[in-house]
Amino acid sequence: MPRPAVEKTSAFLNIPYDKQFENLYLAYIAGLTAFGLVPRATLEIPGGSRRLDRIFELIQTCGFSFHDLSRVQRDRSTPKTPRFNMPFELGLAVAWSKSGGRNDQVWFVLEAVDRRILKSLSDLNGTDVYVHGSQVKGVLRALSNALVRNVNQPTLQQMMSLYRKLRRAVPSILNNRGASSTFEARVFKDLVQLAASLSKDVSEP
Amino acid sequence: MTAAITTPFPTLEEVADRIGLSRKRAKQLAALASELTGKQVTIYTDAKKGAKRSRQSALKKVAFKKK
Repeated sequence: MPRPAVEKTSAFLNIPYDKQFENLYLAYIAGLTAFGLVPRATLEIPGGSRRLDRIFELIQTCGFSFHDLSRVQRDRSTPKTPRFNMPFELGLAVAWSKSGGRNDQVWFVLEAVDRRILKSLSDLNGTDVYVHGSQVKGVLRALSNALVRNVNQPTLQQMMSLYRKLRRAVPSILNNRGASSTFEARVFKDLVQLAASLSKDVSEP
Repeated sequence: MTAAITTPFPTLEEVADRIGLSRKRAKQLAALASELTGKQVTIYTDAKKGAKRSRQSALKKVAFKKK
């Protein structure tokens, strides 16, 4: 299989796509862009028969991946099921990083509850898991613990400020796109681009 | 585990190209960012101009480091 070129500043974002997670979703976008990364997500990929191939391609092109395994509950809609997409995509990322010497691709696991992952996914025993406690600040703090920049390391305050501005812009973006959810492809792209524009405050003080 | 990021911040033009967003929309979002921050955020709608600016910026940074 030909290997797609890796974009070192792209970060694959593997999170639940639901309203209850929206604040943390915005926190991930704000935090990652503050570190100079470009969030990418399966939201960008249209449905269809080649969806799995395209998800795997996207994972392959990203220098980093962040996997939030905090949604272990069953959803509310019938039939009530847990979501397996997140652990599945983590598996794809880990397999890719371990195959053929592609260990330059870095993956991180995040959870809301400390040590819960030892029960939900015990195969990860011995892996550092970053706990965010389902809090915006927790996500930003977890990203600060996982990442370091030699130049222009963002502070927690800068990331919170970026997050708040992004949050404030959501109604305008939804209105412009005629969308009802932030988890739509066009809205996601707008949020990433806006966060990158806002992060100029961090990268060019 | 902590990962070090050594690559520079991507330019706004690079971000737009990577996620498949039009330059026109990227410019609108830069204007929105300017409103939110009170600071001017610019983006080049001409791809060549943006690339040139990016190269010049990189060269300036190298020149500055050499001093």
